[in-house]
Amino acid sequence: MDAELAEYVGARWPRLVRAAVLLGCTPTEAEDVVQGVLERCVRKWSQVRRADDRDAYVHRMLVNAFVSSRRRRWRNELPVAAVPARADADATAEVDDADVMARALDRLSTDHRTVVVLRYYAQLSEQQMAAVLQIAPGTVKSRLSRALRDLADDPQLDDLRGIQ
Amino acid sequence: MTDDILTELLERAAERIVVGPAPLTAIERGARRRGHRTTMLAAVAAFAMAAAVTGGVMVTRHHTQTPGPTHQVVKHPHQQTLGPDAVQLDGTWVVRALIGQGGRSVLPVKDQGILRLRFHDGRVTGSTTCNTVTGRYVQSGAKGQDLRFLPNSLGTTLVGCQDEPPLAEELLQVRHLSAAGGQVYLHAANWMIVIGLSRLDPH
Repeated sequence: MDAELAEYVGARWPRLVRAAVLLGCTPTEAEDVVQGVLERCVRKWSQVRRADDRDAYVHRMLVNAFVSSRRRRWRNELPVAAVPARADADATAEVDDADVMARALDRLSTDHRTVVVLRYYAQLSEQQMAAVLQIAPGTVKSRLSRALRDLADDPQLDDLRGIQ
Repeated sequence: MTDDILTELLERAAERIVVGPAPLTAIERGARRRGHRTTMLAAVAAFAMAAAVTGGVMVTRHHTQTPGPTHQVVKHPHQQTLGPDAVQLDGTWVVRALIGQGGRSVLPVKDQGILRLRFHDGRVTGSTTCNTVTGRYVQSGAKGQDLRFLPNSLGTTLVGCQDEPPLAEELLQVRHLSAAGGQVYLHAANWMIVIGLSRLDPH
């Protein structure tokens, strides 16, 4: 792996993993999804490097990988004796603003959640989001508008609206 | 809610997510594995196309000539030589412990000493009391301390059982391994032990 590529992967890793969690992955799933994305980036580095908007290109790969991970059949039907255990969950998490926001994201539809995360966490423009999601810019605007309306109507976020 | 507030809240929610360092070695190996798979698929596709064009399956003679300078032996990523200090996983292991959320055991008493994991040639096979788990793994790191079971490859039979230990779920949590006192421990990303193993046979 050349130095530029290693630097890119190292720098993007935490932000991409967190974006995947915000999109709806568990932390472990997120690492796997992002690892797969970055493996493809390494394979296609010359293509990624030449991309007009490298971050939009990688986020498009991330969203595609996330959607594919939701479709995997074996994940849907797995007999287990108990609710699957997760080693990295923080059972002592306090209820705070971050938790309230995370739960508000859970209540959004997948489409709305995706546009909120891409716009307000990944900081993509509406044009970039249109390219990432392969939809018209107008559709991005309408999804974003509906998502923001849903968040505005969410009573659990009432206390956070005036936050400084 | 303004854009700035939303951004700040998402940043706060994201900061709560603990992320380890980028697994550069595993990413590099995974990329090579994908390249190898692409090459294989292209070869199969080319063969299928040639068979379709010629109307039958082509059978080639076995040649014993020495490979030319352009020939390369393609090794699977897991086959990279690990250092002498690395834990060698090849062989059959007894699952001594399965640790779930909050450090509690998720290995039923009736299954203790019964669950098996067999590692061989980059493949893992596990048996619970009534289902079989199969998949591939990659061991990497300077001392072979990083271990990952590839989620795309991991599958399980689907016999419905009661009180079956969640072996596949636990394997998906694994990111590291360590050895102490003749036992091998598989750890999650935060180094919490999720599986304890003791060797059943040498290889």
